[in-house]
Amino acid sequence: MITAHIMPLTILLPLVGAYIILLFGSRHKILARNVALATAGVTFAMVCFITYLVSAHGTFVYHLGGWAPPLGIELMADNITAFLLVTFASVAFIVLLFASDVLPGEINPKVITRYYALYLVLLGSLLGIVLSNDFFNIYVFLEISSIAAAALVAVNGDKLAMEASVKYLIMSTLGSGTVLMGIAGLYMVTGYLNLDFIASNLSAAYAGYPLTVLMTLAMLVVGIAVKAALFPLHVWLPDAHGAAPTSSSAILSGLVVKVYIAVLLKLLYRVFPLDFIAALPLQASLLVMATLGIFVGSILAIRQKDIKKMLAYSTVAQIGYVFLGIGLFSEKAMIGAVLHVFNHAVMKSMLFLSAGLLIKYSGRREIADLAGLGRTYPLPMIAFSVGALSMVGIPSFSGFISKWYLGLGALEANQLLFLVVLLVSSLLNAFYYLPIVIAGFFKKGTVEVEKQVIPVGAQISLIFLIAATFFFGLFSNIPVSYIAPTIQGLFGMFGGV
Amino acid sequence: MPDAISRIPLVLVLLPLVGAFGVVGAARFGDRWRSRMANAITFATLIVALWQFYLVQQGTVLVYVLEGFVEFGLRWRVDFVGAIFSVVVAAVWFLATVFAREYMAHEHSQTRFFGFWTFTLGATLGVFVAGDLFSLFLFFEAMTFAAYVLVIHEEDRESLRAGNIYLYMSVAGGLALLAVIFLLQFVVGATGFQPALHLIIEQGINPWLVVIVLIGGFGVKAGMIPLHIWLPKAHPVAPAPASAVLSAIMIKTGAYGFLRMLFVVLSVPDGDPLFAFQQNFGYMFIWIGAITMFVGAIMGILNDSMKKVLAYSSISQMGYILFALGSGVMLGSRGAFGFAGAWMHMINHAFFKSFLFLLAGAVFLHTGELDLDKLGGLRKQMPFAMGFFLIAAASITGIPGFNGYVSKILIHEAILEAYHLLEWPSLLWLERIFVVTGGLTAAYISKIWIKAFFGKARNDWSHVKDLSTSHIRVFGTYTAIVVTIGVFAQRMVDRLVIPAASLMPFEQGDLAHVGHVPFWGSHELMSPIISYAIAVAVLLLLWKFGKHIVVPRWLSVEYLVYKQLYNGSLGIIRFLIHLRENWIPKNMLTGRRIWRRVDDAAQETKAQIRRWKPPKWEPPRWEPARWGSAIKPITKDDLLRKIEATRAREKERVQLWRTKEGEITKWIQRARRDWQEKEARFEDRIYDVVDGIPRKPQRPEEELSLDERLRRTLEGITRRKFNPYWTTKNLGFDTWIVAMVIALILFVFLLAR
Repeated sequence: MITAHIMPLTILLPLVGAYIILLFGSRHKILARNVALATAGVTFAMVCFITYLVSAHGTFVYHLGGWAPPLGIELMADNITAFLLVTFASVAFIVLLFASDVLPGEINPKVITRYYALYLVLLGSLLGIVLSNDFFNIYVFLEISSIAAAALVAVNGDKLAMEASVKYLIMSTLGSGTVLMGIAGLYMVTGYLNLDFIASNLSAAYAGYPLTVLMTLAMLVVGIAVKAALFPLHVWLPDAHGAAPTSSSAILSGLVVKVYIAVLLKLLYRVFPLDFIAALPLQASLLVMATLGIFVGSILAIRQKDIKKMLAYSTVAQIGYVFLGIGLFSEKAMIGAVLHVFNHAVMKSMLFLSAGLLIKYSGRREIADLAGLGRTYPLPMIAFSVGALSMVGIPSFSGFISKWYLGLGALEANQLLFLVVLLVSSLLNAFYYLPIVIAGFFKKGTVEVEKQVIPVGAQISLIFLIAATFFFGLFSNIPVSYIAPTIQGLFGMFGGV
Repeated sequence: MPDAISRIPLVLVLLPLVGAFGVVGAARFGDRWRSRMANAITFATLIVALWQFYLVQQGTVLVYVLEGFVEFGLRWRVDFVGAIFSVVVAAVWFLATVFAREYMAHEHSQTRFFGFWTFTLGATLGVFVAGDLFSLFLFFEAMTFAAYVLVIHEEDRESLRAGNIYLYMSVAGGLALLAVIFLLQFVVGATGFQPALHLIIEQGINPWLVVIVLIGGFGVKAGMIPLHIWLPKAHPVAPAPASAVLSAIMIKTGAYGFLRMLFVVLSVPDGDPLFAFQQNFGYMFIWIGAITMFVGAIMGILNDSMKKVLAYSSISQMGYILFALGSGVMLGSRGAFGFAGAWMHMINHAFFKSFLFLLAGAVFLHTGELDLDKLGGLRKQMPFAMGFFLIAAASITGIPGFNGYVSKILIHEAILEAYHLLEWPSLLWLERIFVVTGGLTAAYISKIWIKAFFGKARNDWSHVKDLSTSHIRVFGTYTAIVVTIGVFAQRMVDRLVIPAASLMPFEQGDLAHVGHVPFWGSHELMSPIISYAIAVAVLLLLWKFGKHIVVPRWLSVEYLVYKQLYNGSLGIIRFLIHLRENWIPKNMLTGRRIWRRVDDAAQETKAQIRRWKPPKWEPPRWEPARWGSAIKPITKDDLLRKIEATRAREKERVQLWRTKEGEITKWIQRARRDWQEKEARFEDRIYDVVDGIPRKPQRPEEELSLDERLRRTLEGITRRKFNPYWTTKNLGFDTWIVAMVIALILFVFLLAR
C-alpha cells in the first residue's frame, strides 16, 4: 500500500506534521521539536525510497484518487525529479537538525513552535512542486512555498526582518502573478493543465494562437526568474536572506530559490519543444542575464561588509551558474546545472549555518570582526572554509564537479566565452570567500570571544555537510550516473543540439 | 617501454598525505614524537621514491588508475622523468625536515607547520607522478593551498600580505591551467600527455591561445617574469625550511608542467606544417627565459636581505630552465641539448637552492639577522657555515666539480646548437645574455658571502655559535650530493639525462651527442673564469656606486603591469557605481532630497576649503635708489627693520589663515550639527547600516499582536520617506524596476516574434 501511495504521502506527511505541531506544540515545546525532526527524517527516508523505486522501476506515476490525468491530479517522479527530491529532503532535514539546537537562542522562544510548523509546510510545498505534474498543482504549492518562506524570514518579528519579508512577499507575488497569467494562457489555448497533455496539444494550439503561446512561455519564464532571483530581478534576495534567522537563510538560499528552477526545467524540457524555444530569444536572454548575474552578484558580494549579505549576493551569482547551465542547452551543461542545484544547496546551507554559528558566538556580523574565530570555534570555521573552497571550485570539492560540467557544456555548445565567464567568476569567488577563511584562521581577532560549547545537533549537521561536500566531490559519478541517462534521453528525444 | 600496473605511485603520494594526520596525532604525545613522526614519514617517502626509481630504471613504466574518482578517474604514470624527480623531491624534503626540527623548535604552532609540511610533500609528489593533466591539476591545487599555510606561518602583517599575493596569483594560475584542461578534454577527450596540437587546430581553436593560457597556468608557479611578483615576497617571509622547499621544489612544478606540455603535448614532428608554430613559441620561451634570468639576477644584486637575494636568484635560475626549454622546443627533434640542460638544471637547482636557503636559515637561527648590512664578520664564529656556503656558492656559480657547472654547460651547448642549426643572429645575443647572467649570479652570491662572513662585524656576535651537529650532517649530505653530481658529470648525464631524454621525441644521433659533452675541455673550463671576471667588475662597480642605486618604483612590475590593471578594473567598477547613483530618476527619491541637501552642504564646505587660497606672499622689496639721493649703505638697522616687516607680514598671513580656518571649522560644525539634528529626527528608524542593531539601546518593545506589528510595518513602508539608514532599500523603486524589467522582457519576446 505504502509503495503505491508513497508520493502523495511524502507531500502530506510534513503538512500533517505541521498541523500536529500547531495543535499540541504550544504547550509542549519539546514535542514540537521532536515531531518536526521525526517528520523531516521520515520524509527524507520516504524520498530515498522513491529514489530507489525510480531507479529500480523507471518513471513513477500516480493518479490522485484514481482519477486519470485530464481530470485528476497527476504526480510523477523520474530520475531528475527524484534527484531534486533527495536534495530538498536531505538538506531540509540537516538544516532542521541544526535549527532544533540553535534556534532557541536565536529567535523569540514564543515563536519557535510556529517556526517548526512553517518549516514543515515549506518542506511539503517544495516536495509538492517537484512531484506535481500539472500546472495548477504547481501553482498552488508555489504560493504555499512563497508565503511560508516569507513567514520564515519574518518569524522573529524584528523590524528589519519584517521589512525584508514584506519586500520578498511583494516581489514574489509579482512573480506568481506573472506565472499564473502564463498558466491561464496555456489553459486557454490547450484546454489542459497537465504537463504531458499540454505538451502533446501545444503544436495544434500554436497553429491557432501563436501569439498567446509565445506570451505564455515568456510569462512563465519571467515569473520564475523573479522568484528564482535571476539577475536584474534579484533585488529582494539579499535583503530577505540577509535578515532572516540562520536556518531560514540556509534553507531559502539553498532550496527555495532552487525549486523554481525545477519548475523551469519541467517547463523547458517537458512542455515546450526545443525547436520552439530556439525560435525565441530565450536562450540569448537567459545567457545574458545569467552572465550579468554571475558578475554583478560576485562584485556586489565583494563590496559587502555583512557576512550574511555577502553570502546572499553570492547566491545571486550561483543562481546565475544554474541558469547558465540551463540556457546553454547542451547535455553536459544541463547535467552541470542539475548537479549545481544539489551542490550549491549543500555548500550554501553549510556556509549560512557556519556563518550563523560564528555570528551567534561572536555577536558580530561584520566580516572584519570574524578574524581569529577559527581558533576558538574550529568546526564552524572549517565548515566555512570547505564551503568557500568548494565555491571557488577547487578539485576534490563538490563545487568543482558542477563547474567542470558547466565548462564542458559551454565548449560543447561552442560558446568559448562562457568558459571564460566561469573561470573569471571563480577568481571573483576567491576574492570574497578566501579573505574570510584567511582572517578566521591566521589573523588576530579584534574581539575577545569566550568559548562556548556548540550544541551536538549543530555539530552533527555541519559534519554531515562537510562530508557531503567531500563525498560528492570525490565520488561524483554517483549523482552523475543517476541523472545523466534521463538528460541524455531528453536531448536524444529532441535530436540533440 | 612496458607499462606495469603498480600501487607504488599511489603509496608514494598517499603516505605523506595521510601521514600529515599522523604527524598531527603524534603531536599529542609531545614535540619529540611529532618530529620523529615527521622524520619517519619523510624518510619512508624517500625510501618508496628510491624503490620506485629502482623499478622504473629496469625499464618499466608504473601506471595506476583510480577509476571514477573525481569525475573521470585519477591516473598515475611514472616514467623515468617522474621517478627521478620524485626522488629529488623526497630527498630535499627529508633533509629540510631534519633541518627543520631545530630551526622550528622555538616557533609557534609547530604542529600546524609540520602537518601541512608533510601534506605539501604528498601533494608535490602527486604533481610529478600524475599520469594526466587533470590529476596533475588536482595535486597542483592541493599543493598551492597547503603551501599557503607554510608561507604565512609567521602570521604577521608582512607575511599575510605576501601570502595573499601568492594565494590569489596561484588561484588565478590554477584557473588558467583549468582552462587548458577544459580545452584538452574537449578536443582530445582525455588530458593525458600525448600530442594534441593537430586536434586543437582541427577544432578551430587558435593554438596561440592555448600557449598563452598555458603560460598563465604554469608561469605563475614557475616565477616567470612578469608573473613572478609573488615569489620575492612569499619566499623570504616563510620559515627557512619552507622557503627552501618552495624555492627548490615547488617552483619546479611549473617547469615540469612546461616540460611535459611543450615537449609532448604541443610538439609536432619536424617536417610538419605546424613546426613553424612550434619554433615560434620555442623562440618566445627563450626570450622569456632570458629576460627572467637577467632581471632576476639584477634584482638579486640590488637587494640586501639574504633571503630576498636568494628568492630573486630562484627567479633567475628558473629563467635558465625556461631558456633551455625554449631552445629545446625550438629545434624539434634536434633539441636534446635544450631538454638535457633544462632537466639537469631542474635537478641541480633543487639541491643547491635548498642548500643555500637552509644555510641562510642557519645563519638567521644563530644571529637573528638576514639583512646583509647588519651581518658581517661571521667567519670567526661560524666557520662551518662559511665553508658550506662556499660549496653552495661554487655550485650555483658553476665552478667545475660542482653540480651547477654540469647543467650550465649543457644549457650553453643548447643555445649554441640552436645558433649553429638556425644561424639567427638574435640567438647569439641570447647566448651573450646567458654568459653575462652567469657573471651576475657569481656577483650576487659572492656579495652574500663576503658581506655575511667577512668585513667588519656590525653587531656583537660573541654569543653566536656555529652549526649544530645535526645541521652539519644535513649540510654534509648536501655537499656530498652536490659534489658527486659535479665530479661524475659524465656518468650522471648518461644515467639521469639520456634515459629521460629518450622518452621525448628526439633523434638518436642527437641524444648520443649529449652523452659526449666534453665537460673537462679547456673551452668549457674557461666559463667560470669569465663569470668571475664579470662578477669582480660588477662588485667593484657596486662597491663604488652601489649606495646610490635605488630601483625606482615605477620600474617595478607591480607598478608597470598590475597596478595599472587594478586601477583600470577599479575605474570600471567606479564608473558603474557612478551610473547607478546618477541614473536613478530624481522624482523617485522624494525622501532623499533632505539628505541631498545635507550632502550638498557638506560638498560646498569641502569645495570652499578647496577653493580658498592663502593670500600670495611677496618677497620683501628693496626700494631702488633714486637719482640724486646718495646711495645709502645698508645698515644693520635697515636689515632688522626689513626682517621685522617680513615677520609682521608673516604673522598677518598666519592670522588670516587662522581666522579663515575658524570660519571653515564653524561651517563644518554647523553642517555636522544640522546633520545630527536630522539624524535625530529619524532616530527610531536608525539602524546601524550593517549590524541591524539599533545604535541606541532599544526601548523595550511593547507587547503587540502580530497583526498590529504587521500593520505598523506596512504603514511604515508605505508612508515613510526614503531613509538611507533603512536597510531594506527602496521597496517602491525596486518593485518598479522589477515590473519594468518584466514588461521589457515580455516586450522583447513579442518583438522577436
